[in-house]
Amino acid sequence: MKFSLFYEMQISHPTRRTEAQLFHDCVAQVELADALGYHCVWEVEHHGLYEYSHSSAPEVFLSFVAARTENIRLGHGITLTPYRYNHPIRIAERIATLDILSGGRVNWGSGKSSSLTEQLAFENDVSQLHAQWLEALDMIPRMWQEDVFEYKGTFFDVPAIQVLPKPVQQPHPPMFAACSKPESAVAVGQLGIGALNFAIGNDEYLAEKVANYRAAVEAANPAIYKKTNHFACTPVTLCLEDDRKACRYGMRGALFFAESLATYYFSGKRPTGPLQGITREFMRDEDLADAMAFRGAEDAPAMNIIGDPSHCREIVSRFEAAGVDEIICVMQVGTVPHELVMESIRTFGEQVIPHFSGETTMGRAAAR
Amino acid sequence: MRFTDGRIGVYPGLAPAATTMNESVFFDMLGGELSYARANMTGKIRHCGEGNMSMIVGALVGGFRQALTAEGPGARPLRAWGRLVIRNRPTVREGLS
Repeated sequence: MKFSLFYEMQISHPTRRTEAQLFHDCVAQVELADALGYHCVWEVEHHGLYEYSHSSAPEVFLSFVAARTENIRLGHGITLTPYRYNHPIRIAERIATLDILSGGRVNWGSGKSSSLTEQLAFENDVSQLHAQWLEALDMIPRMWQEDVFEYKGTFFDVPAIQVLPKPVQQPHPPMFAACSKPESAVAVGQLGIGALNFAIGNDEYLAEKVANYRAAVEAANPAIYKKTNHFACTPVTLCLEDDRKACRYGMRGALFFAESLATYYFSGKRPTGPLQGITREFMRDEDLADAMAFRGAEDAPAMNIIGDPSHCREIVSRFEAAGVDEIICVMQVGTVPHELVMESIRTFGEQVIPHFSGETTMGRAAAR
Repeated sequence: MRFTDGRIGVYPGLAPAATTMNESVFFDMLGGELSYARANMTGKIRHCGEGNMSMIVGALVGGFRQALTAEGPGARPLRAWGRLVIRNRPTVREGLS
């Protein structure tokens, strides 16, 4: 089981000053995670999702972090590949450059984007996004491997060009894609790339989803890139010595995360300015007590890893039993103060991660 | 319930997921007194089966709340209907799924 950090760059009621401070805080958090042996820092690409995500230039953040860290991997989670956002040649060039400068530490995730705000801002033809993503996925690994790249597809007609530089990882950085629905996890598996799962569900549902992905990826035989068999989940996480304090801040943060996400992705609106109807205050004592008790319920979804180290280990073991390879902890959420994120990275790194080193249950089973 | 091309219908057969909640929880969500995320986190909503289907409850509630705040004279019937649903909230508390 591997443990990583996930960054949306969230901030509640930002000002110019606090927004700038957020970026420096995130760098400090990743430096600490690197020192504690976390596996990877995954950074999103979003545009215009006020409060929910201020991470619009992940390639710049990850480059800065690369220079300040030694071992932690640098994950794009994910790069928006429709060409209105990023031309495939520019993606290949940037990823390869980061791979060289970081000493081969890049994980590359890709996707098509699903928020109306950014789809319309970049004047995308929404009906073509999926096809554009697939074509970029077909092009970029070729650019990394072929001395001279030439391509004729649905959206691109590229005459012979040398796409430079080439990445240092051979044959190229590991490839991943975002997924949430069961059928999209299978589709990602069929492509032969790693799955970054953003969905929730109970243990049985998650185990089935992982198993279906695993069957698909094992049968996949991608012709132009190296297969990545890897399933990651992204739970909101806050791990503190004080269980109640962790729940008080962590659950408020998880609500901010879920409700701001729902505002941009499920409301059908394209809000601007401060988000309305979002939880920014602490839960009432009786609700907090209910939520703390519900964590251990049999049918509680494997959704958040919040509590003291003992509770966190218990929830992590459920992800492990479902066959998950990597937990990408979402610790930096809009209403959790930087100091608590730092405390959580340290507590989780020292008291949870060491209990789960090695392969997953399914990985061991597959190896037998 | 099945959703196809933006339409909702009720069909016989095995559902991929089931969501269970108390009736008062459902009306609290419609009335904006309780968010779907908070109900989910505190165990007021229980869900089994396909995880993403649980999000549909949140989307349905969000759609209803949106109808309440829809702007313009054309949306007047929608707003009136939404207010009527909330005003006529049942007083009998029964399980609803």
